[in-house]
Amino acid sequence: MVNPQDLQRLSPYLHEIPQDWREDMRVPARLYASEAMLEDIATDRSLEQLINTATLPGIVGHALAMPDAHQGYGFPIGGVAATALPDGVLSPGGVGYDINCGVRVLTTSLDADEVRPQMNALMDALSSQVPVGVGSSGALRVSSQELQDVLRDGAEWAVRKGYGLRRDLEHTEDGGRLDAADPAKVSERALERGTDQIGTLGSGNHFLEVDRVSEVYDDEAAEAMGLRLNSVCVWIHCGSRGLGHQVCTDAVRAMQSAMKKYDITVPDRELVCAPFSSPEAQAYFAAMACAANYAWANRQVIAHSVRESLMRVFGSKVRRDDLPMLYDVCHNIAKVERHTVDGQEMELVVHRKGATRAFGPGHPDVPEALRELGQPVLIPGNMRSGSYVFLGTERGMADTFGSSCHGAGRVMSRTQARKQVRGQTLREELEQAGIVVRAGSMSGLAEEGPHAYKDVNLVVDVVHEAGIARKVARTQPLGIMKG
Amino acid sequence: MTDQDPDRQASSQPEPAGEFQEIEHTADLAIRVRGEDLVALFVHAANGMFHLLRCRPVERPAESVERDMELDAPDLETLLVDWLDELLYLSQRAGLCFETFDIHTLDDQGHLKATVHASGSQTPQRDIKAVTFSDLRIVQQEDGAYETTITFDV
Repeated sequence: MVNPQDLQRLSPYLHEIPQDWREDMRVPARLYASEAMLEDIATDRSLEQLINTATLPGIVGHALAMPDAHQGYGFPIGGVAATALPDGVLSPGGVGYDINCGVRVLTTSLDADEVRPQMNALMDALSSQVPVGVGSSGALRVSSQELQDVLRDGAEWAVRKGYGLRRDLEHTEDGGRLDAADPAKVSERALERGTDQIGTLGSGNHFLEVDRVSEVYDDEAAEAMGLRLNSVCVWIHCGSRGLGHQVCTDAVRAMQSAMKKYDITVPDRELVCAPFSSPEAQAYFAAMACAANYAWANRQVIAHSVRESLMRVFGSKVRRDDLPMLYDVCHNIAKVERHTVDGQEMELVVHRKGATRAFGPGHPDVPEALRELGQPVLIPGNMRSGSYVFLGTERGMADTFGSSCHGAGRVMSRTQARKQVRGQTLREELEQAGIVVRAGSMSGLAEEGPHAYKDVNLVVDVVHEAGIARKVARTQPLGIMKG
Repeated sequence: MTDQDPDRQASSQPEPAGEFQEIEHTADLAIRVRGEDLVALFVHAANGMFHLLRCRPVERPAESVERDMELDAPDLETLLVDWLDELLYLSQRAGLCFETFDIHTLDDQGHLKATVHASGSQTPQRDIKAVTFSDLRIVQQEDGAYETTITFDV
């Protein structure tokens, strides 16, 4: 058990668990948090899970936890771990079951004042266009042949089919397509689960939100991203649905036996892994890339439905070109990237589980239009306080493999959250605050209420003050849609 | 809206005493399961998972579903994950909750044969993404009973 007083304070926002804390650690573990947040983080098993992550064969630098860290399975949520190629390990549990769960933001030329009177109509239009909730399906059904194209080409497939604009791809992490995808590595069961869930949101913490820009911290950067004070934007949070869950389930199961073969032991079986160059890891990487591409196709089709809804409700006030994508980030993924570790440039596989890539200014993977500024980082907060748009920094590149937090981070179990507030009461409170709510399940709404999350303002302050990404704007909800 | 007063419904089906108990997890769901033997442990784990899935009566009952299942795994923990994975997959495909679990064979070599049944009258109100291996250990207690804790990704 790690207590807050066991952590070494490196700065007001960075704390370290030294490598000799436990004999199986291969690197130190580092946690980004304010002093006040440490007590909360120590109440669950996130620090123990972070230490477990520090034992992965081939890990370099530090095992990292972002300020939204909380207990997960295997890795903590908010965890980042990089292993050195070719023999550092790849861990499917270090990506998670919702492969390429991520966030996409569309900006609009509309002002909140003109949208507010139409919010009910807009939320109705979105509800009719985007299936949401338990087992949601049916927005779009593809043949098994076409599914292969989706898995290979991701968001590019969707744009080719008319669900979006070419420009959208430039503003999507990796262009919305990972080259490593090989549909032959995806199981029949995963394929079966993928045929009818493109364009659906799902349930749990996934959401679709219509927000207004409520604060701007950097005028120039915000303008370049299409964020004007009081302008309206749309947030989409979802992932690879049943196909992605199945890909991870298959890989975690398949790698259990690979562990013996490669003589790897891990402190938690969910950290199951294999050397990146091994056939087992390569097979998972190719299947994971397919699931990631599926998730990008999913968010691309949902973005198309959002544009259709906005055009239906606001008529000639908006054209498709007036609804550009700010960016699309994934926050459950493993990527091959080059980073400098201890002064040496290395090729690494970076696991981000509940963490967002945050590349700094000038990086070639940042869209050209924003390259001088850095990569946009999209941080959803909660359904009352809103969300943040950040930019990646040089400091993040040096200290966190170019990574930032992915949200506010839960602080309370689902049972506790339901005990503290009734879904109906929360809905009424939100509506009194002028937020239109569409929710399939009142208990699901209560489980995901603002009270179940850390204070997002404090979480993002840690990221900003530590310098691993920087604040550009805050947005607050006008309408939310939940499963 | 699928549930009129779901906050109340969420706690309307008590956990059967001694079979399984939901335990606190910050983000996901977890149950502690106990069984006087391995068969009971596996049945209680299945009951626990469908409890977490919040099964509710459907307006129009669907056709019942019965499936024979045969699983082989290298160890009991993997077999338990395979068993719950299979039930989760069948449930999601049919949109139904399974209620009856007849385990014909279950040995510590990791072999299981069972027949599972969904009456068609119950449907899940919550998604579980996956059954995890996180800290999964089946432990035999001094009284001979088996216990384990299972974490589900939601």
